[in-house]
Amino acid sequence: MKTKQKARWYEKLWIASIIYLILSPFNILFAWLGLLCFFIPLLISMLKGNKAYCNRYCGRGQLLTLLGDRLKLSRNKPTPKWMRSNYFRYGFLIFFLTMFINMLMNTYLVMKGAESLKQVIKILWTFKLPWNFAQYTYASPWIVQFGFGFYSIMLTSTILGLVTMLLYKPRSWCVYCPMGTMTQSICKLKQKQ
Amino acid sequence: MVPKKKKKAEVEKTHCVACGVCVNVCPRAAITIYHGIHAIVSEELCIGCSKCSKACPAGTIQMMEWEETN
Repeated sequence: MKTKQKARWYEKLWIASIIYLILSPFNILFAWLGLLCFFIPLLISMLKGNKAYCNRYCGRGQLLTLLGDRLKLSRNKPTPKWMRSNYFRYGFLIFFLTMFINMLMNTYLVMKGAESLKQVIKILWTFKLPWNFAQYTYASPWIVQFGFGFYSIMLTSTILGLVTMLLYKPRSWCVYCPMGTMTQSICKLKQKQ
Repeated sequence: MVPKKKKKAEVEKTHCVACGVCVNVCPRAAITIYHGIHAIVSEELCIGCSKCSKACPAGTIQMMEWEETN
């Protein structure tokens, strides 16, 4: 028999995910907070050697469960085999990191004054959405550029997550999530030592 | 005596992404994530409800039939 468990604070982290996605377009500096979703899982896996971030604290994972499972927005079909394969998982990780480095390069060029600030949110690494409404007073152009770049990554991955949630299982995103693949690899390496 | 058939969840470790979805849905807390690498199902605790198998996004949990002799 299932006993009702006490609600824990970290089960509400999906709210933080939504707030992040909504607030960043209004003040692009907010996008910097997304770095927490990068560093916390990496630090946990490096220091503790586990995936507690994915298992408990991932706001996006919770959001996908909420929408796909509780609100029944997912078709709940099996994730396709190719998407579950290690080739795709590691391939997507490499692609994602390449795009991340590309974004860092753009930020660097703006910092050095070689390029001017582009107030654009790039969706799915392709579609450019001009965005001049974001507030960024008192910040250097490169800080703003990084905000746009990082928010583009966060929004793109959320869109991918939502699409695979609709098509397949609620948390199909977790199968090819670059952070998940990275932290699992770190855990494997740590275990081998 | 006819052996009783029971279902138990079994994880295919090589493709498990250790996301922890199965841990969250298991009503018996029978699943743990082994050092962030893959899920492990406790044979004693698993009641074969197949909730984990249905929720697993990586499709790595299969329900296997187990024969119990007593």
